[in-house]
Amino acid sequence: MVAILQVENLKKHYPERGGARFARTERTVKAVDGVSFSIEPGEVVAVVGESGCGKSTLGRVVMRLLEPTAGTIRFAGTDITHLGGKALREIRLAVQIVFQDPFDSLNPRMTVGASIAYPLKVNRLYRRGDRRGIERRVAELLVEVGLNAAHAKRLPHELSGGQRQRVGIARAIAVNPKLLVLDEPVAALDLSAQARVLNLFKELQHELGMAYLFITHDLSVAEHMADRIIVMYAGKIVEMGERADLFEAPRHPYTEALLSAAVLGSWGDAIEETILEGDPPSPIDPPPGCRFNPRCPHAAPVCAREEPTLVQVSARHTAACHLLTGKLERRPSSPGHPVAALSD
Amino acid sequence: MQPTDLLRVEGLKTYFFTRHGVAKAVDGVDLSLSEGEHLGLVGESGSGKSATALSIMGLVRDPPGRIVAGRIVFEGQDLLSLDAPAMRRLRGRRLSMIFQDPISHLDPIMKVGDWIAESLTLHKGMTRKSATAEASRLLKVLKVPSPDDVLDAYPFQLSGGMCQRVLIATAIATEPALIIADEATSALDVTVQASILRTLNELSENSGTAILFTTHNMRVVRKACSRVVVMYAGRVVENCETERLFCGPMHPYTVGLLNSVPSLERIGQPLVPMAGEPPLPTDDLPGCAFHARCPIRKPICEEQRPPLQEVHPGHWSACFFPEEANHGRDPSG
Repeated sequence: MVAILQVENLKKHYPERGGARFARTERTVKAVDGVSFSIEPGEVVAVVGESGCGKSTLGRVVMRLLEPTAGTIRFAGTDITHLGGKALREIRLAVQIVFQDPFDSLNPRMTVGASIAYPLKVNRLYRRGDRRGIERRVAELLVEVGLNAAHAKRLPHELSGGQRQRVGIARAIAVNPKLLVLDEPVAALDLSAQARVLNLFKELQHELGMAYLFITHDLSVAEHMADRIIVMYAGKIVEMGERADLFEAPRHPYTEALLSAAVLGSWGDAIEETILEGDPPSPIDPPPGCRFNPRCPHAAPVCAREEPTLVQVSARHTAACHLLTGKLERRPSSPGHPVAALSD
Repeated sequence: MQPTDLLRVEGLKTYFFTRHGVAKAVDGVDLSLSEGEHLGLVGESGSGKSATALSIMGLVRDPPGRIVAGRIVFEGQDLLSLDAPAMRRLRGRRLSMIFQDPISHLDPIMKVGDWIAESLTLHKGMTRKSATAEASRLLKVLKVPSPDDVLDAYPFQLSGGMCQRVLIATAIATEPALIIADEATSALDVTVQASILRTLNELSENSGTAILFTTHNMRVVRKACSRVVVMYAGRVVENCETERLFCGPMHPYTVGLLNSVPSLERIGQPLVPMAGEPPLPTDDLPGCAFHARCPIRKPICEEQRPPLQEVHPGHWSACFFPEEANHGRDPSG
């Protein structure tokens, strides 16, 4: 089976200029720094990580909304890394994106119907002037995403956040894509709207057989949606595996910490959590060696010297940590350091 | 008033007078907090939790907002009877607040050290020098790695988590009796969120400071709060201990919220979202505000407003049928 999406050693670096006028400095932000993975047709792959880990950049580079600095992107076997013009437009029919913010991603002056009809028109999926055909398809799409045909006449500001996100989804699936990139599609929604939109994604995937690249910071959302999960940290993949493997036997200390933060633990359990010190690193100046080493509870000098590579831990499960290569020993979990008393 | 109550809110009504009508953001809220307690105020956007927090702090902008009824008793004083200067003296000294978006609540052109020190010189009468030393000590307490570098930085040079620690340092600087954390961890990454929640827990255990968390995040509630108040459409619908809320909720809205959370403990189970949308704050409904979305509604719910009643000792619910609320909820979650 040919993978619907295959990404190899993908990099996206941005130059960043700083400094005063006569002391210009130029540094590189390595937002995505050598990422390889693939998605099978109809598969849901979640990319999980915290802000600044490069997950959204990854989604945009895959869509070719941003130009990759290095690496290749193959779509259903075709190399699309350097495609342009008509050929790229044709690929875009098969890859669509839904954005996080349903407030910013719809034109406030276009009716819902016009927004959804737009991709149908620019891609010439209907004969010019076939208003009836387009209207029928728009109505069909609105029903598909749980709205009704009457919503076509509304403007975005008349809708709730959840409804707006449904319009964004209808617009994305209008051209029958094979792959949907979902960039934090429920992060801006209230809990009950979030649950309904997640259920909608599941139904649509079941009915239309699309593959999803589901970008989220929320592990429990990833768990709910994905067949396979990719964990990113500071521009790199640190762990990748089938959902069950990753959740039951995480192999990277960062995944463990993410999991422990995401569990709905109870009041009394709070002490057993793996709580990381410090903040995620800046992608401008990532620490040498393993990028996670300054926050890692098991880190040893080797971690700051050598960068670990992804190693196979089981058939479809890889992780990048020196713990797996025998260069590092796991430290027994130590009780959290008590905070100094407030009035000492 | 029970002797241990630090804060007691009774029948609080905060209305916003807008051109679309009167928005009853807070419409008769009762809650109380004892010393050192961690209380979670939970609800979705528009439920009135932030308006409640702002009312307690005396920070409701007038116009359009106004507290039209109720009492807010804090350390034995009715805050609503205080004039502005008295309230200002209390705020920052006995009553502190941490906001959701730390960067926009710091002064962009003021160094972080001066920011923390200002609160100390103002409220504790410290000299600038000792205030700066104290600021450095506070950041050390919050486990900020090189505190003196942070004190010398401007907010834009710091990460969101670091700015939030700075706000927390400012909030605890005067050793207040109550900190209101208004969605204080919502904008942060989960690992940073976990470390900030732990720090807040430890601080409050050491100093006996009570914390009122307003949040929409059930995970934060479960990790940080001993008791929870659930709000819907400006009213309290349920009030109980955290464990009871997760094991035996007695309001159908709470059940709906819990069923909407994708949970790592309920792998493979479908989410059961609530139907419909919450009412607009300008709607004037005679009955239960949740009835249109409620799976167990009966005719009475549309006609009469259910009062908040103590169903079990320490467990209040504003539902006519609290025992039926939990149908369909999987207890393992």
